[in-house]
Amino acid sequence: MKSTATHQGAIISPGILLGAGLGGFVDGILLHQILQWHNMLSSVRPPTNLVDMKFNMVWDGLFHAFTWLMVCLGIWRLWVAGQAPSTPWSARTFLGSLLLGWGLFNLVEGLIDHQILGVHHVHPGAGQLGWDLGFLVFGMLEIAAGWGLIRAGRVDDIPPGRTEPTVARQVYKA
Amino acid sequence: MSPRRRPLRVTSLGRRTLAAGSMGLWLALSMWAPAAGACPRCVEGVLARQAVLQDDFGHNLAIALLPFLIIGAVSVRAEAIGRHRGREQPSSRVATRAQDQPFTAAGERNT
Repeated sequence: MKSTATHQGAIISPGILLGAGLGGFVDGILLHQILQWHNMLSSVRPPTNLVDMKFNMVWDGLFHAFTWLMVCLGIWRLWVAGQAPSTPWSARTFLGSLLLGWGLFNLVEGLIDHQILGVHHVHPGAGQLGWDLGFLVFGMLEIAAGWGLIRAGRVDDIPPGRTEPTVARQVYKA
Repeated sequence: MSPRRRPLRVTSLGRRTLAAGSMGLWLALSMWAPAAGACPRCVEGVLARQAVLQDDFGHNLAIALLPFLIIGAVSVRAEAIGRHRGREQPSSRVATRAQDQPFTAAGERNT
C-alpha cells in the first residue's frame, strides 16, 4: 500500500517561486541599495549624476516589483498546496526548493544580465569577471544543495496537518 | 519536578519605558530627517522619468522581466514532479487483492 502524499511538485513549484523572489530581494536590497555595487541598468547608464541615479532607481523599483510578484505567486501556490492531501508536507523538500529557486535566479539573472547582455555587473571595475563568475558559481552551489535536499525529501510522505503517516491516509483499492 | 515558570507579563512601568524609548528614537530620527528630502517634482526627477519611458522602455522591461519568466516556466514544469507517483501500479493491485481476500467464496485459496 502506498501513501497518497507523493505529489512533491506541489511544494517544489511554490518553493522555486518563493526562493527566486526572496533571492531577488537579497540581490536588490543588499547589492543594489545597501552596498550600492550596481543597479539594474548601471552599465547602460552609469549613475554618476542625480538624473541617471534616479533613472536606475526606477528600474530597480520595477525589478523589486517583479520579485514581489514572484513572492505573491509563491505564497498563493503554497496555500493551494497546503490544502491538498496529496502534498507531502516536507521541510526538506520545501527548503530544497527555496534554495533551488534562489540558485536558479542567480544563474539565470547572472547569465542573461551579466554575461549575455551586460546591462550590469556584480561589482564593476577591476576583477569584474571574477565577481560575475563567483555569482554564477554561488547560484550553481545553491542549485546542487537544493536538488540534494529535494531528493532526500522524496521519502517524506506526510500530508499537511499531520505529524506522522497514518494507515487511514494510505490508498487501497481492491 | 521542575518549578513552574511565572508567565511573562509586561508591567505598566515596562510599557511606559518602552513608549518613552520609542518616542525618543522617533524624535531623534525626526531631527535627522530634514537633511534628506525627496523631490518628486524636481527637474532631475522629471528628466529621469522621461528617460525611463523614452530610452528603450520595452527592451529594458523585457530584460528586467526575462529571468522571472524563465523561472516561472521552470516552476510550472516542476509542478508535475511526483504527480502520478502515488497511483498504484496494476501489479500491486493484484497483490493487495490477494492479501485482502485470501480465500474465494468456494473456500479455495486466492492467489
